[in-house]
Amino acid sequence: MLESAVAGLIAAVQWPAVGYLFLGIALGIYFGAVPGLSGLTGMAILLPFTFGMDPVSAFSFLLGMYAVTTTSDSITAILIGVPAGAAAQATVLDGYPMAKRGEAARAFGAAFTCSAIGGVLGGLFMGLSIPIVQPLVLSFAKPEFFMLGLLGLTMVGSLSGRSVLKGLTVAGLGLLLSQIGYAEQIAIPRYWMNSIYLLDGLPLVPVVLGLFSLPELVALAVSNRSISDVPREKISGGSGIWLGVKDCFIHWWLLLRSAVIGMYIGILPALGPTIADWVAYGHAVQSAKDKSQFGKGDVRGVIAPETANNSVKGGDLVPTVAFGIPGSAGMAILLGAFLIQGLTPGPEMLTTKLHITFSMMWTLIFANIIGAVLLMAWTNQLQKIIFVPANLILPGITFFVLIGAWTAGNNIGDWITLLVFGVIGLVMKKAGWPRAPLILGFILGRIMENSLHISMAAYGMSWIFRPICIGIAIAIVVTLAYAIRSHMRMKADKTTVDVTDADAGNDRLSLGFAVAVCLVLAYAIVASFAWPPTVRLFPLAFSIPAIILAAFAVFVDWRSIRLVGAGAVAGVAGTPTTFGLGGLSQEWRRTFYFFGWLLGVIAVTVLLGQHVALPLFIALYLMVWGKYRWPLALGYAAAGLVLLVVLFDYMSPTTWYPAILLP
Amino acid sequence: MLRKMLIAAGLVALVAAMPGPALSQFYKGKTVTMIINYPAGGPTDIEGRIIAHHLAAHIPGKPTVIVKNMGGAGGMIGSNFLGEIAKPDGETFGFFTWNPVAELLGDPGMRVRFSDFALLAGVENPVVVYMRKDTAPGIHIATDIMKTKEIKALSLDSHNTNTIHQALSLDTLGLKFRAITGYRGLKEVETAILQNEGQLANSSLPGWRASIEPTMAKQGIVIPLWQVAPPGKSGNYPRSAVVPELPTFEEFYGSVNGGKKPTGVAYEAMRSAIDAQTAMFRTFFMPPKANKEAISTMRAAIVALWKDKAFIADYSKAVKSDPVLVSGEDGEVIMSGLAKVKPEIKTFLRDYGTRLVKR
Repeated sequence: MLESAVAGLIAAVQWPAVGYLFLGIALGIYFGAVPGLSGLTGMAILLPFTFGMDPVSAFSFLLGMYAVTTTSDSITAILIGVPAGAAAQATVLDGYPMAKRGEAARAFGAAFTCSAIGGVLGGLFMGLSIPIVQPLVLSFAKPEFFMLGLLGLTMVGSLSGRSVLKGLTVAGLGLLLSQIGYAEQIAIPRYWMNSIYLLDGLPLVPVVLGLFSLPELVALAVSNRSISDVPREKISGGSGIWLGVKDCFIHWWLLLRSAVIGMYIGILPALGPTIADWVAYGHAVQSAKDKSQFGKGDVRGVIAPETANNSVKGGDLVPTVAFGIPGSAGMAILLGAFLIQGLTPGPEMLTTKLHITFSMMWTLIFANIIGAVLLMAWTNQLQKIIFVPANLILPGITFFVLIGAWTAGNNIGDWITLLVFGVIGLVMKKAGWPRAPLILGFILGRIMENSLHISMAAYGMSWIFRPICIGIAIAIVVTLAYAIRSHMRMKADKTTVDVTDADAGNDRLSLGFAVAVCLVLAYAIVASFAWPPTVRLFPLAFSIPAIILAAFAVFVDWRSIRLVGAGAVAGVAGTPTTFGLGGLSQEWRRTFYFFGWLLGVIAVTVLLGQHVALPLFIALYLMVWGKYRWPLALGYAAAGLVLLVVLFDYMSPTTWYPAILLP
Repeated sequence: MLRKMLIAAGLVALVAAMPGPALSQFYKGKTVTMIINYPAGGPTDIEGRIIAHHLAAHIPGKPTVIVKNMGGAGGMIGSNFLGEIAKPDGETFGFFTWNPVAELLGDPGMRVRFSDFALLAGVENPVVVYMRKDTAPGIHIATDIMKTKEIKALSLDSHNTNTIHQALSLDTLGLKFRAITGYRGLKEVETAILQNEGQLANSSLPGWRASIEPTMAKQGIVIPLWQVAPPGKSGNYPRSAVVPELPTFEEFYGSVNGGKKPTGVAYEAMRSAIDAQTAMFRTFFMPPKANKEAISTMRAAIVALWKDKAFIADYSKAVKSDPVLVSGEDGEVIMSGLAKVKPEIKTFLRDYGTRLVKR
């Protein structure tokens, strides 16, 4: 084995493999950093280029690229609150507030360092565990997946902040949203509203961008301040980076646990970086003694997901190489590279081709270190963006949010989804409802339904008694007990109240949202009776408890408003904000105005296509909203057009909307 | 002499100045988009990309060929795009894994029927049915399956061709089984067989050759039972040339039923569901009412591609067998066969998937 490890090292550093490794890293930083592109896109685009390469070069190229995308995707997540890829979603929750506090450099220092450490640990894990991992992978069948999903849902408690009731309700809403589209067992579409777009379910990226990024964009547009609330003069870049690096070592135990979470999720088939990212974040909050800063810029909220979304890749490679079972979507594409190379995953890769397997391990290790060092060197330049006035930077961010949502499916439905969830996200933010549990429910819903259905069909009820299922069930009970205990403590001690991404919000808005959720769930329950029992079982199983919780939330909010009205607990429940529903405040008017601009982009796209709509939006926004002069607006718009053509027409061909008025 | 030379020069100039055959000009300077109706990285995508890589050289005018993945809704997002949005100007074509059962029975999401597209070609692909050897009382040879008391047969969703033909073939043999449906892809099914979640499943030939055979059959975990071969010219089902070592389902049935041929509604329905799929596992389509010149040019280019040794070498390396091309003309005959399926067989198939989940 040692011989093969050395042979793998020599193969990985030999020319031309090492050249392809560097090229891969450079492309990976690019694919990771641009919202809308991702490691997955990179894999698909680069795969055909490996036709003529030798196996080690091909894997150095592809894995070098793939390894660093989850390092560079934290750039936009931290700087502008837009996750460049699905694996950086949880990083936004604390990374962006750090940037707002002027601590972008520190967040980068932490993100890049722990990404590198996580990636290296993942690579080592991959190399060392492949020969012995078979029982672990094979013992996780559908029943264990369902139980893991349940375990994941227990994190709702930690992601719910002040109100576990609201957290559980929106987790139910997330589960419901995951049910849109074809059912898992019979090809009967659910909640599809006769729209082909919805047949395949809601796409994750526009939903997340809508829920988390659009509300931040609105806040920027309305305030016209820079992202950083702290002036530039008061920020020192260099020491910030080192502070972030030091944070990783201070929280080394969390880092290590997050790396293990990533590796473990990686070796489970089909679970990839997106899930590792959220689970690690949930774990960081769940295990923290002082939760008060999560959602407000706690560096642990950056360390955990960023470590896990890099270490997951080493884990992903294990079942891919050892059994030909893709550990994630990216690995499914890598399997294509195996086919192109004429290699067969499985025993061959562990015997005669073991040196190629080890060359992959070295590639992961080198790429993670080199990628992080390169990005670290750019940090000072990168962080300047947070000091630019909002109206100047906003058209650029909006451009990337729109492109990011579009590339999810190249469908105008993706933009409508983005806007709808933008409105929902904004209302939830203002009403004080936590948004992270919704995403958790949305991600886990399909996996849980599919696993439960197959478990019941294949094992009857006996699956409950499988040893690993019992083990996970115990973990669920312990987690719940711990969550209840810490929630009780939190309630007793008002000074350490956890707010995660939720905050005290407007009670009347909260009541309105609770009523809306009740209505949606009621519709979901009624509509499900048109389907056969196997198809309606899962939606009913959570919609009924969720509607009870939502009704309870309605009652709590109603009582709270009544009490405030009576002056009984004034100053405790409900926060007087400018977002009152009686009469439109200027803030609301500007918010509607901003959404009007976005609707305008969609309308112009339908008529004239994105190549006209997006540059036009940039120019008009700068001149009308930002009051900038036309030469700047024109130059900015031209830059947008060039980006569109170079990045998305030339480098990764994208299908644009077929404009009605253009030939 | 000078006069002859002048005439010859004049003729040469005339020929040079004349426009070439219409076919050679059609694609000159154009970009052709190949829509793949499954996401990047899957078997359809890999095969599609190898084709795209080599195809341009065989299209007169050598256009640029680019690939776009439009996965989702069981391939229907891509096929609906080709049918409804792509222009029929010959500059867009699809490389699809299609679903003959959806074509046969209809589907709420299918906006354009496959039979309305212009068929350019297809790629033949037999299906291999395989089983775990440790299934009680032990499967040493394929016919031992007849000794089993009950097996769990794993497959995709209950109305998919993959599920229907597998269950119908087991019913035709009179075997007791439970259909465990709902796996999201053949890779997932393969994993579940490895985990012993079920004992029997089926795969496309590339899946068998590239993955199941080396990782499971050679390790003694599974054994191939039979191939579901594409229909032959004379209406029978000879062994496919790409997998000559495996008996066909019909041969297997004969070997356990005293040489009899399979008959009955279950068998007829099974063949109605699977024949078009095995005859053309992958299909090349152009939008309905596509430019005729483009259709004939592209059909000829695909035929020429299949004679290109470099392409065959790359393609064979990926699918681990020599791909058999079905020409557009032959493919149209196969497609028209679907329209001739009896209404009572369609009704039977429509109910069968739903009944399968309940039993």
